[in-house]
Amino acid sequence: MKTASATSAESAVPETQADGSSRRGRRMFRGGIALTVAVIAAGALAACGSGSSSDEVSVSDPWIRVTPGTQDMTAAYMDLESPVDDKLVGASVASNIAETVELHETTDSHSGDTSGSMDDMEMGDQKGPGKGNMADSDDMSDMEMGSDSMSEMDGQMKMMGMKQVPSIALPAGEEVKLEPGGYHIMIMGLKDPIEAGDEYQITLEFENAGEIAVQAIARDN
Amino acid sequence: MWRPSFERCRRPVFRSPILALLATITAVSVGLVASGCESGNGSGEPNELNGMTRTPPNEVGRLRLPQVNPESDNRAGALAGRSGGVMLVYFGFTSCPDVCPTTLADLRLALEELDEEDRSRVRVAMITVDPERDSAEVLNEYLGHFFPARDFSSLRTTDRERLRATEKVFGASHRIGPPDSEGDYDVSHTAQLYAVDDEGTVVVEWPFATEPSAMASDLAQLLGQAPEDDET
Repeated sequence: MKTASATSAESAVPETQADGSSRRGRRMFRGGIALTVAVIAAGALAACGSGSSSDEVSVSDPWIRVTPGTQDMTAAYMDLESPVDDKLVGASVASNIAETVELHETTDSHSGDTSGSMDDMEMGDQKGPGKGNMADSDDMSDMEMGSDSMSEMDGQMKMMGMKQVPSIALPAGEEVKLEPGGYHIMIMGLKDPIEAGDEYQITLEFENAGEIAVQAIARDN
Repeated sequence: MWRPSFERCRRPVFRSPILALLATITAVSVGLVASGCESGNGSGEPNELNGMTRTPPNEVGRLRLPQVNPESDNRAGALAGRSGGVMLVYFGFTSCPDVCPTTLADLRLALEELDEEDRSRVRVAMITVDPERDSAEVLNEYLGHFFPARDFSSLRTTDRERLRATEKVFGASHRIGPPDSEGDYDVSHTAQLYAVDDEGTVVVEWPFATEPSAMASDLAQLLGQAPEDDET
């Protein structure tokens, strides 16, 4: 029932049974409001009575990153698709696996900031190699705080960082990828290393679809 | 002209529209437009590299950083390939859950695509931008997960100015975020992999999410071109 749409990863992973039944009732009211709002917005009131099975979120290729060393954190990834507008609002793992699970997004501090970069790059002509737009090394200390100070260093200076996000939107019928360099489920306070080939249950919490448990296989990429 | 450019119309394939968009933004921000692609590097030299190159290239061969591999006794290691070889330099940190392990795992796949002779001439060097948390031991174990011990250099300095100065020559940077209540902190960093030849010239840079096959193809070409290589 939860079959993959196109997945880019190399191995398909056994799908797990949705396990949202117990929490489902609790979520229903909230989900119902969301659905109703959506339906009203679409002007299709008749859809109000549609069965709950049709708003199941499909989860494909869930995997969790092997910890390369002594790290006590890792990330998990998967592809999600919901037939109705929904949101991934949280995730959890058993307490004997890790302490904290959050939704994160890897960000590029330069997205949207493309102005001025060419000028900066051209400044590099003045001196030899490596002088580029980093002409003033003392500026670097400013970078300890505040990403704005990065704005003068663009082009090759794509700084990648991470931020917690409250939810991940799943527009109806659209595949949303949790993948390296983008959204991921951040798992912190690992009790033990994540070993390649092992499977870990991750419970996903959706605003509309309730909880769905998936088995994520551990691999490197 | 100080203008990094993709030297080839076929760019690295990105995993997602978001990454593709970021790459596009980056490409545009360094002055590259689609039309520029057709004229290549303008020098008329055949160039099939997938990654980014700069004109003129960065020269990093004079840089030295303490190498903290078990047998290396903190000796300063040069940031350059061995004779006829290439050093792949990465600035990262081991508490990095997403970007760094993705890059290193992809790099491992790329190296696996090379023939053994080529692979033996590639050395991976990771410079930790988080020496507080990345002890020599942590760094070695981390890199050891991805590469055979003989193939990597763990580079670590607690001298912040020295680290900054090194980053500057590459055009790299990082930022340590404020600690949370438990003392944990985020680190933002540039995520390129730099390929440095045996003369200390950065011959190509691969942005985050460059496909392993694209890196492998570049490496095979670079190693084939190395002056010391009599086989080609």
